[in-house]
Amino acid sequence: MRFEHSNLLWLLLVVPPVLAGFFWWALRARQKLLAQFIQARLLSSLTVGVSPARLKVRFALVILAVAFLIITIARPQRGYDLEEVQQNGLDIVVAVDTSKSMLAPDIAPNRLTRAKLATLELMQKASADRMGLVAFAGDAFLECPLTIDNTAFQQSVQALDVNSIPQGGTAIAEAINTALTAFKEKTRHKVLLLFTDGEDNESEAGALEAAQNAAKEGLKIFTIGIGSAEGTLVTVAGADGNTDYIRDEKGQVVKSKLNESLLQQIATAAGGFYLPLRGANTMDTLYERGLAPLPKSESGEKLVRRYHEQFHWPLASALLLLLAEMFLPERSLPTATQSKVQSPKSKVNATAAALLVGLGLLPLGAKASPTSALRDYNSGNFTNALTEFTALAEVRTNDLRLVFNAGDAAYRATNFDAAQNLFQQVTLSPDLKLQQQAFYNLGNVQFEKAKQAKDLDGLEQGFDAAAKIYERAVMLNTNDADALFNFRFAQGAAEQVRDLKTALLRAKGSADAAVQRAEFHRAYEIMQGLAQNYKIAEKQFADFTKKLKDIDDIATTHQP
Amino acid sequence: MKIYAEIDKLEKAEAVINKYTEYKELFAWVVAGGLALLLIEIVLGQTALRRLP
Repeated sequence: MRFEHSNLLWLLLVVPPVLAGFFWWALRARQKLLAQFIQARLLSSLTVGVSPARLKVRFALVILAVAFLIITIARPQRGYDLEEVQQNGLDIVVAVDTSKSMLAPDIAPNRLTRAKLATLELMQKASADRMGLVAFAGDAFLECPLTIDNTAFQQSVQALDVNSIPQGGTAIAEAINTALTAFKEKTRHKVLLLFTDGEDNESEAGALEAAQNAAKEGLKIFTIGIGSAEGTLVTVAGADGNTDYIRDEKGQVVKSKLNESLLQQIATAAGGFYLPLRGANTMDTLYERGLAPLPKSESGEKLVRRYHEQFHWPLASALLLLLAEMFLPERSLPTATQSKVQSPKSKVNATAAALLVGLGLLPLGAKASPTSALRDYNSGNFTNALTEFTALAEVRTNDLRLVFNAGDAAYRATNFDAAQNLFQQVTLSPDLKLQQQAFYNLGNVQFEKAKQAKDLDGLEQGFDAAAKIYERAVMLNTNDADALFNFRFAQGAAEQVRDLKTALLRAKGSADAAVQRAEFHRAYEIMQGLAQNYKIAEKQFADFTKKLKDIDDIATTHQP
Repeated sequence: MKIYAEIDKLEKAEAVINKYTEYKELFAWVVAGGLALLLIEIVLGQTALRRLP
């Protein structure tokens, strides 16, 4: 794994942290602005489901996406292909001897055909090089100028025959000079391949001189000898159609021999080497030993590494993250969080459940304080919990759930006045669920307070008030069976107190009647029975009963 | 002009030319542009174009 622009990776150390810092600042600014903008009382309902945690997740996604984009532009790459690049291609001119001696069949089928096949083979190998073709016999002619068009070159090669050059002979010097005219660009490597049987019947010295001159112009000559050193008789089709041996002017048959020494000298003079065309691998040897090293020696680089780009992976990751960020809902659905609310099962459990619900709605990023308050609450240390929740509620004035929890703790700490006060605050909550629960708990508080009443009237009023509050809770949530039960229960209690009051009054009435009939003992018995049955009555009528007892005592003493 | 039409009718030899094309990767500029726009969006989205909540 490498990076084309590895310097850009330093951005990873700069941009994401700066972005994170910016987001941290933005979060704080948001909260500050929200507090200024919206009344604390409405905040929780207007921003329900919008939690800083959700926002943080979104920010994290964006930061991650940015990091991946930075990796993308650094262009990660893995693996490479080696690609052949010939910056200095060769210019190769192939000069093929087309003299009649090339028809000698000492190498099958004959020398010329083998030379042509060898030329085409070379063309395949030197596909990146430009090639040209010179035919020579007694004269030389540029059959095909330098070209990269292999087809054109091929056609020129295939068109060669011993009649290509009408003048008989083997003018190697002429061939070298004609080849030189084919090279026009000076920068490229110039190579001449000489296919010949080396029988220069012009002048061997002239051929060598031409080679030396060509070497001065930067031409390298490789000579390929075709034929055998022993020589062979050359047959040729005569004008009358009969085949005959080639004869010299005196009518003697001419034996064509491969002049290897001349070819060797020419090659050496012009920086190349001599190869006899034998076997199948001559062209391979020539190309690998003679031609292929040439560009390498000068430009120094033949293979370039083409790296495999891998940028699509980080790019796709970044896109996916951005898409996820886009589709991540800004606020959770209200029903989703509140469906967790369980309806309270009993008076005591109801408050605990409500408390847990309240805490469950707390933002995830909240400090540890609500947790410690909850710990206090759960361990039964209600007074501590109350203090902590109250302190928390003062800090976070916008969160009525904390007030609710404080009220709850107060209730459990049997500090009913405080609980009443706190729950009453919560009944103003815009969150109807919370409001309903506050009413329910307020009813509980009222009920408990009523039980502490000193007389029947207070009891009755207290129970009535509790029933009224429960009724509010029932109205807010008609499905709340507990609230309904408590509502009926409080109503029933108030009713019982009223019944009791009438019963007491009736008892008092009969006691009074007994007093009027001066049956003090009877009156005392009635009152005592009343007191025994109803503790509350004992308190209420304590004076009356005391008087009755005194009178009764006196009466009994004085009565025989 | 007629001669060209006739030449066109002649049999054609197929020429195989090895052609190498080397492409320069320019995607990084596009991605960098996108990244810049994204960063601008992030900054503006939390400042000038902020939505509350």
